[in-house]
Amino acid sequence: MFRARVLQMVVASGAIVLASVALGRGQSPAPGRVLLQSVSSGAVDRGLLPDEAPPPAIGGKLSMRALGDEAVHADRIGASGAAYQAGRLIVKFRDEVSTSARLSALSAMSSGSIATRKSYANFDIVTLDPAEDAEAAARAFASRADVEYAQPAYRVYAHFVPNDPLYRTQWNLPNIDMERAWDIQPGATSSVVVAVLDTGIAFQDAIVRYNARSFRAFLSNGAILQYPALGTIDVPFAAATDLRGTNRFATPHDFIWEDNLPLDLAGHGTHVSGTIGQLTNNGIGTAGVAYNVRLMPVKVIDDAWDFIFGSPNEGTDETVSRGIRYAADNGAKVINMSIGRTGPPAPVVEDAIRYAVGKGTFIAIAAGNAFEEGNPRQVIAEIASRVEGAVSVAAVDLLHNRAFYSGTGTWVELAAPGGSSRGFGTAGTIYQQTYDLDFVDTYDLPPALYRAPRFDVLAFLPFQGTSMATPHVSGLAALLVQQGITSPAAIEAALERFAADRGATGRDNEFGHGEISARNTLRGLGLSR
Amino acid sequence: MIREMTRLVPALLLILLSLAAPAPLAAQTTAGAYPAFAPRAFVMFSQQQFAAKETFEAIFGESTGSFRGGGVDVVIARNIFAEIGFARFEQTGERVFPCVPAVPPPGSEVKCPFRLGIPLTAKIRSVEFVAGYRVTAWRRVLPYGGIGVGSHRYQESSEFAAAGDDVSVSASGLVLAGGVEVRLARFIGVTVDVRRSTIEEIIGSGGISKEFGENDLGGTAARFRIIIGR
Repeated sequence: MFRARVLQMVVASGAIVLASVALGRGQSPAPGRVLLQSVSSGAVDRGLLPDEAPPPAIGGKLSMRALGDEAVHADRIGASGAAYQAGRLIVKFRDEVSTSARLSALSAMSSGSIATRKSYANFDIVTLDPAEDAEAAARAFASRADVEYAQPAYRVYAHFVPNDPLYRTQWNLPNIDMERAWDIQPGATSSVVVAVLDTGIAFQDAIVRYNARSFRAFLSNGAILQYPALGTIDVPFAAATDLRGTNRFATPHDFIWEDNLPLDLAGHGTHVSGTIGQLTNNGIGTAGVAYNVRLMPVKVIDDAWDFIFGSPNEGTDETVSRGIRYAADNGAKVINMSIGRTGPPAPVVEDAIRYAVGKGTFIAIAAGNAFEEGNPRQVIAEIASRVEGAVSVAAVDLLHNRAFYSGTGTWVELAAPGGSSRGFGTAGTIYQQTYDLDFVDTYDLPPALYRAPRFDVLAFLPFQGTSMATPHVSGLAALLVQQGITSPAAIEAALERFAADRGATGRDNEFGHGEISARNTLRGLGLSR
Repeated sequence: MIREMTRLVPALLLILLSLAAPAPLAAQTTAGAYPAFAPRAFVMFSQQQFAAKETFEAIFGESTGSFRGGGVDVVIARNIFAEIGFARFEQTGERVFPCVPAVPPPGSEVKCPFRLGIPLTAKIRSVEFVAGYRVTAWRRVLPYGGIGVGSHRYQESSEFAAAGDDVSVSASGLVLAGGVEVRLARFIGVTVDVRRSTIEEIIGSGGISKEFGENDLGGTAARFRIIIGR
């Protein structure tokens, strides 16, 4: 309850800014964490926690800055209002341009340097003076004939909005006719891999040693809270009990920590993964749409603890695009992206999406939750609307109406249950297993109560958002893949062809082609009906 | 248009039969012992090329199908005939999803449309009434042509069907036939003819047939009959 009051304060005062007295992000060359052991004392499952509520994230989130490093490492706000990572520029030189020509171009354009190209990147990262206007630098680079595109490393965020009341049934699955769909295709098989590009997944038991830096929380009402350094702490992790299974997770990778340990430090990715592939008919917890698939945890989004622990990367267009390419190259047939951002175009992400679709990977992308915050254009979702084989997903409530937060626009292609607490309480939200956030979001507490997190206490929590809608589409896409429809464009066409029309007749900006209908889609067409 | 013609055909057939009324006398003079009214029975087999070619190829993997059946006909005054026949088609295929794009790129391994592995069984039962004229210039070989109407019942059932998903509908349509009868013996003959049937209002409003814009359940059939009788 206390935490809830703090949350309300945070929400009321707008975004807070947290800052650390330790080395700023990106300055620590040494590994920021050490995996001590890959088992822990086991998960604590607190079951259904209907009064828990994650904080809101509407195209933004609690942001953190290193104390004393604010000017250098803070996200910058571009002319469009979109945040980007200072000191970095994504540049895609044309393929025929040699390395020497690239360096020559760089010296002509900037005082910066080109970093060593990272894995799963077909672009270069140009490091700039952090004070330099990256958007202006991008425009200058983009105007060159030898440059295909250039853009700042815009920040990308998870989509979900808070809820707090109780929820007891998964109305969302019957609403898309899942029970009858499972008669036709019972949960796919482990031959289908679904990549979850998110904050990670609670996929492994582990104890990991981190260094927790001190930081400041800057409230928009002017208040500043100083949080102490926790120093070296051993943090326990547990795999989600309703996700884990033999050979359940495929080729995990972490683009925030640059290793193969994409542990979820927020709970968002674990919740999303549950809707895709929560174990079903096992007598515990909740159900998932494609409950036999293998899940590929690909961490491309950071959260508060990643910052406090000093992760080397933040979630930007760079990590997202690398994650997309990684998933496609490692056999994912479906990619779930319950993430997004507003602001300028993201050619690097579009490039990666087209690459993945070209390799036969279907992609579902959240359409955004900021309808009541001005309904800004969702950049990544908008890409999906231009690529056959990628779809953007809006959210509907349990009465099949547009969820109050769900963004509208020409980019919306499909709708799925994302839940809505407004008017329904927790009965209208989406339940899945994730961490008990009382043990995770301790940075929301006053400094005196602030403590190390635990990622081994699990619970079934109610979330809502287009983040929750998107995995329904990904799960259904996985079932279609199992049915033999493997072309991403064909999957998109099937989903849209059999969607239940909502709102205005035909395609519209609220629901796109309509709310997915699992059974009708899997059943296909007969001769005359 | 088809519906209007379907209504007109019975009237035309009655006119044709009434014109044949004086024939028995003439028949006695030209054909000797040939009866004025010769009822016959037949069994038939036909192989039909469906008009809804893409639809049938999608569901069954081929656009042709076999009908089997039988019936009776009557020859009036040697030249005029009228037949009523029953034929039955049954085949099992799979439910499908149309390709996107409609034509896969060259070299693609994708087979279009996608077959979903969900069994679908289609049945057509037809009763057709056809009347026409036989040319009797030759003793053993008798070319003939006719026109008629058919009543068709179409049933479609699939695995995982719920109430209202399966189909059972009827419709009528036109039949045109032309062929040749070969008399093998006094009471045995065989015919080979080509028949064109048109059956609208059953397919085309849903399913893969709608995707292909095909609304004719009929087709062109090569039919073989064995006739018992004169």
